[in-house]
Amino acid sequence: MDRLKVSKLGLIIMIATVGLTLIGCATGPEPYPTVNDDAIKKKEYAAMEDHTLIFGYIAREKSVFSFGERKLPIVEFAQINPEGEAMFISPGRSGSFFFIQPVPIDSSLHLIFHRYKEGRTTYYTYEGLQKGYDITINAIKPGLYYAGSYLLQSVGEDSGSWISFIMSPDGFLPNGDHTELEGLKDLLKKMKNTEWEELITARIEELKNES
Amino acid sequence: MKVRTKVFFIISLLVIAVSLHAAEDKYDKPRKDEVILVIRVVITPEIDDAFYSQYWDFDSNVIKMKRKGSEEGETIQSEAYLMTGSTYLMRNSLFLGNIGEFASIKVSIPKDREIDMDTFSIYPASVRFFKFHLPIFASLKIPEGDNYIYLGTFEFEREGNQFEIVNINKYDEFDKAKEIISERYGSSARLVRVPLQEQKD
Repeated sequence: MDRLKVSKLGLIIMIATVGLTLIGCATGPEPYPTVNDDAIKKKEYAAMEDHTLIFGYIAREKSVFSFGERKLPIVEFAQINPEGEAMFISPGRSGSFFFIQPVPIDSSLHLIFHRYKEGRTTYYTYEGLQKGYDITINAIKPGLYYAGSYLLQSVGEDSGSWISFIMSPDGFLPNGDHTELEGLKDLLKKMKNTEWEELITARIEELKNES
Repeated sequence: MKVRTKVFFIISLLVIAVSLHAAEDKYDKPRKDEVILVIRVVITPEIDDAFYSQYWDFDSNVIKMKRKGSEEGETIQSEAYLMTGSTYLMRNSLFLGNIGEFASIKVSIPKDREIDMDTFSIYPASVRFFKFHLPIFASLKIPEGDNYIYLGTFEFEREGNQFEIVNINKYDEFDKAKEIISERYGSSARLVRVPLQEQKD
C-alpha cells in the first residue's frame, strides 16, 4: 500500500512536470511584457515620474478567409537610443492590444521583428533600423502615451505584373479600428493595483466627458 | 586500420590543409576575368558600436542572441556589405569588412563588363536586426585590361537614431589606396581610378 502511494505521488509529479514543460515550450504572446526574456513583475514597474507608459494596438489585415481581426502573434521591440539602456522588449499582449512597461523618457522603441504563421508557412520579418512602414515609439513626456492602432498590410506599389504581386512588401499603417478610450480600458485591466491606476481612470473620465 | 578509415583520415587531413591555406591567403590576386574593387565607407557621426554590441549579451522572448564562447561586454565592430545587381532576384551581397577601413574585394567580371552598384548594407555591431541601407545607385564600367579599380571614399552624414542620411560626400584617397594595394597584392598591382556612371533603366 505504501509503495502505491509513492508511485501515485510520483505520477502526479511526472504529469505536472511534463505539463509545465509543454506550457513552457509554447512561446506565444505573453500577457505581460518581458525585457531580455525576463518577465517583469508588476511591483517592479517604474514610478510615474520620468517614465512613459506606452500602449496601443497591432493586428494583421483581414483576409477573405478570416472573420474578425487577425492576430499578429510575435512582435519584438528594441530600445535604439544609444544614450539609453539597451534592451529587447516583448510587449504584454491580449488580442491585438499591446502595452510596454513604463520606460524612461527619451527611450526610442523600434519594432525590429515580427512573425506569424499562415497555413504551414511561417513569415519572419526583420524590419531594420531605418524609417519605413514600421513602428517607432518615442517616449517624450512622462505619463500615458497612446501609440495608435496599427494594421500590418501590403504597402507595395502594384504595377500589374505578377512579380510585383508576389514581392509586394508588408508594412504597418495606422488605422482607426480602435480608440484611445478602448486602449485605456484594456490597459486598466493590466495595471490594476499599481500607482498608474489612478492616472488611467482619470484619463478615461476625461475622454468620456469629451465625447 | 581499415582502408576505408585510412582514406577518410587522409581526406580529412587534406580538407584541413586546404582550409588553412585559404585562411592564410586573405588577399588573392585576381585572375584575368576578375577585378579588385577598392572602396572605403565612412559614416559620421560614427556608429556607437559599444551600444549595439550589448544586444549580443541578451536573449529575448523569441530572439536568441547569446553566443557560446563570446565574451560578455565585448565590443563588436560594425560591418558593411556592397549590394550589386539591379533586379530583386539577381542581387549579390559582397562583404566589405569593418566600416572605415579600406576594403578590397574580388568580383568576377560580367560579360558586358558592367556592375550595377545599388546600396551599402550596414550591420551595426554585426547585429542583423539593426541592418540599414545607404544609397549608391550607380553603375561601374570596367575598362578592358584593368584588374584593380579605385572607386573612392564615400562619407555618409546621418542624423538621429534611425540613420537618416542628410548628405553624401565623395573623397579621393588614391595615394593611400595605392599603398595599401601594393601591400596586399604586391607592387605589380596597377590601381586605376574609374568614375561611376548613372544606372541605365
